[in-house]
Amino acid sequence: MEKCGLLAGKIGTIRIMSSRPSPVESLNQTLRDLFAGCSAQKYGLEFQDFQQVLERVAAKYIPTASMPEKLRFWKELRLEELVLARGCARGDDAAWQDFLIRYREKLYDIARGITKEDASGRELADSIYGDLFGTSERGGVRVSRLDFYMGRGSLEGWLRTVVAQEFVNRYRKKKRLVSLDEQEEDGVQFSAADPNPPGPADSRLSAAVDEALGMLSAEDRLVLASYFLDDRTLTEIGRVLRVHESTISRRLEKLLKGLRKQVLAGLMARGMKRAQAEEALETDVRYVQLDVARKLQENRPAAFQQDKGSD
Amino acid sequence: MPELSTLLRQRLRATEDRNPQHPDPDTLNAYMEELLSSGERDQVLQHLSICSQCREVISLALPEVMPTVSAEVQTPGSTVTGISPLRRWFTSPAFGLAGSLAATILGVALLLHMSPGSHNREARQVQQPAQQANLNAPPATNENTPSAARVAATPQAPLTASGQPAPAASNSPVQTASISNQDSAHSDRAALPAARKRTTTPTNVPVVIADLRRDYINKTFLANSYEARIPTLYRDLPQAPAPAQANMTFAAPAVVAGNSFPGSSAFQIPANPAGANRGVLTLYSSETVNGRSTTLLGKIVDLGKRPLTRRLAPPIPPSSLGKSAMFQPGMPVGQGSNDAVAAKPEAAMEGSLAGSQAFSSRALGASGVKPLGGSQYQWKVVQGKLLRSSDLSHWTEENPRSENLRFSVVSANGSEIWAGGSDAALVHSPDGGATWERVTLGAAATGAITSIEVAGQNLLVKSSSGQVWNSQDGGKSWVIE
Repeated sequence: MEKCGLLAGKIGTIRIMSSRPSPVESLNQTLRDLFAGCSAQKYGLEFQDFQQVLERVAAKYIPTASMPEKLRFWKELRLEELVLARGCARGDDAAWQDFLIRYREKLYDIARGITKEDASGRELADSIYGDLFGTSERGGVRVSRLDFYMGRGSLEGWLRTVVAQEFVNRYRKKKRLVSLDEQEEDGVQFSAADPNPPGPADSRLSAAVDEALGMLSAEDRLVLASYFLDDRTLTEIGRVLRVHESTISRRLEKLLKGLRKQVLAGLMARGMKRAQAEEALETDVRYVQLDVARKLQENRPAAFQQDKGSD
Repeated sequence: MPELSTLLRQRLRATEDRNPQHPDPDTLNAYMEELLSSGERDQVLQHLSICSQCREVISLALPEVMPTVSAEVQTPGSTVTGISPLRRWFTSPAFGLAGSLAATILGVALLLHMSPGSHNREARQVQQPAQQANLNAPPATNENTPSAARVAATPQAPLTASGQPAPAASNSPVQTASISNQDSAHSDRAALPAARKRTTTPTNVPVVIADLRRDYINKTFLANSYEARIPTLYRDLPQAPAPAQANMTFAAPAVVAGNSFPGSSAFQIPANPAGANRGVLTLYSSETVNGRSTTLLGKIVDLGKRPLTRRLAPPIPPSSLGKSAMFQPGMPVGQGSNDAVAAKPEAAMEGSLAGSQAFSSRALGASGVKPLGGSQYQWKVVQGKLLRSSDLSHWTEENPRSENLRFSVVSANGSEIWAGGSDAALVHSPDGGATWERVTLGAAATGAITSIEVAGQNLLVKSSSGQVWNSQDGGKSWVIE
């Protein structure tokens, strides 16, 4: 009797297990739920198209992930905005109508905010709009920039990033293409190349600094590069790292103290005595001061240059 | 250390990557929106540390958010000037250490003072003479319990109009606590009219509550001893009148529709003891308060956090239907959006850029975002923060109910503001953002709110998990579709 009860229990378990959907059915159902929840049909995307879009996104960011990981990843995507972008890229009227209603003004606002000027902002936004619409063709197919939106963040944020990238590219290109005549008209003075380019007086110094920099984390290096190379303010650096400017100030101070100690230790490890290591740093200061004075001399106003020439 | 900074400039520039593989805009955007995993974030940071171009892009693409906290900034290497010695002493580590020590001692003393054992002992000391004397007479005020919290402390206890405490005498802790609660509830009924009498506008509920809270803080934290409190605090106040028990009708403990909090109950008390229907004082209590297991400080916070009144949403004219497509994350909503709908270019869909009026001066002129007639603010959601602006140039962060929600969408129509965020969080302001109330969709609600559509009293809310919630009564009740 007891065995019969156990057997009945097993059969019951088997029945329960057989009533569960298979993993493939469960996957398909989940995908169909995602498909239904993001209004993809509204923009002319069929279920197969939707699957292809998701697979393309997964292949780009998590190519080796398992199916449950992919499902988790897809659920975190901005699917509604992703299908809108794909609908636009395919030239769907309803998608373009929604896109223009939602993002046309945002695009202008973003461009104006980045260029800080109305005319340039409009020109930049128009250019981006052309790219989004797809003015170029590849293999007879119109290529829209919206086809590269992958839905990881908001579509508005993606547009903002695209506009910023375009602005930076244009600025760099324009900077490279400025003629010498234009620069001369702007008052820039040119000098012959320095046969002895400025640099650390001792190669051990640069090696010690490189070693100390190499031991820093990426975030610390970002803070240093933003502050010393890009001349960003503490507020701007704090915005990038999502911390308060006072935190950046404290971190910079701590970083510089630590780096100084490490550079001195590196110099001493390379055979210098402490006094020599400190002297090496100070020597570099004197060298840079001389260099700065020379640069100032080069960039003196034209009137002073003429005075010098008449002397 | 200027010498080191010069060296760093040289070496950082030397180690910059000249031909890096830039991350795509999606990844950079996901980094800015804090959506990357820690590994991906590290990769992006690694790239940013050697790529000035991407640093520039990030800096330009980050939306400007008004800082809500200001702090004094000291640039590295600079000397602190213009700071008084006293202020410098206040910011010294020694002062911080001493402050921490003092706070710890104060906290321990407070904890000992408010421990359940001592609290019950005090309650019993007050209660025993009162029980022996006369149960019907208004007992001495229990000074350790706030009036409102004491009323709310027994949500399950059947409070009658006469306010007679149950004649129970037992040594068990549960029954003792029950007696104590009923006793304190009785004394509250005596304290409430007195508090109302002190207020200039008896029907002004927030003023009454502020008064009660102030009294409670005075009684609990500022008085030195229990015996010294009554003469100290009420030396210059008139004797509280006997409770008007005929008019003090306590509503049955019931959850008020639309303001239901999980595990909480509400009592409705006429704000005017004379019985005029000019206002209702609604007090909420948590189940955790039962048995006085919570600390007194917690009760203050609870009282302060929960809404005491609920304003009915003004009717929305049918002509001002919400455009669901307009209310997307990060998009300022208001009159300008409606204009954008009216000015949408049909020619842009023709497939030709030349025929498009999307960026014409006419469209640009028609689409300037203007404040809505009924609301003085424009609203948008950026980076999970709810922002408002009166001039579209300066945006300030709004933190409804101080809950630090992560928002994803906002819908504004006149003074009706609806905002949704992660964990199916939904908040509503009927008065243009002056006050906010938390709206609960249902226990089964999951995912982040992705869309809020408003059409009069009809509301349609979608979440990232695919749920669609519908309300026909302006958000009071919700049905999942």
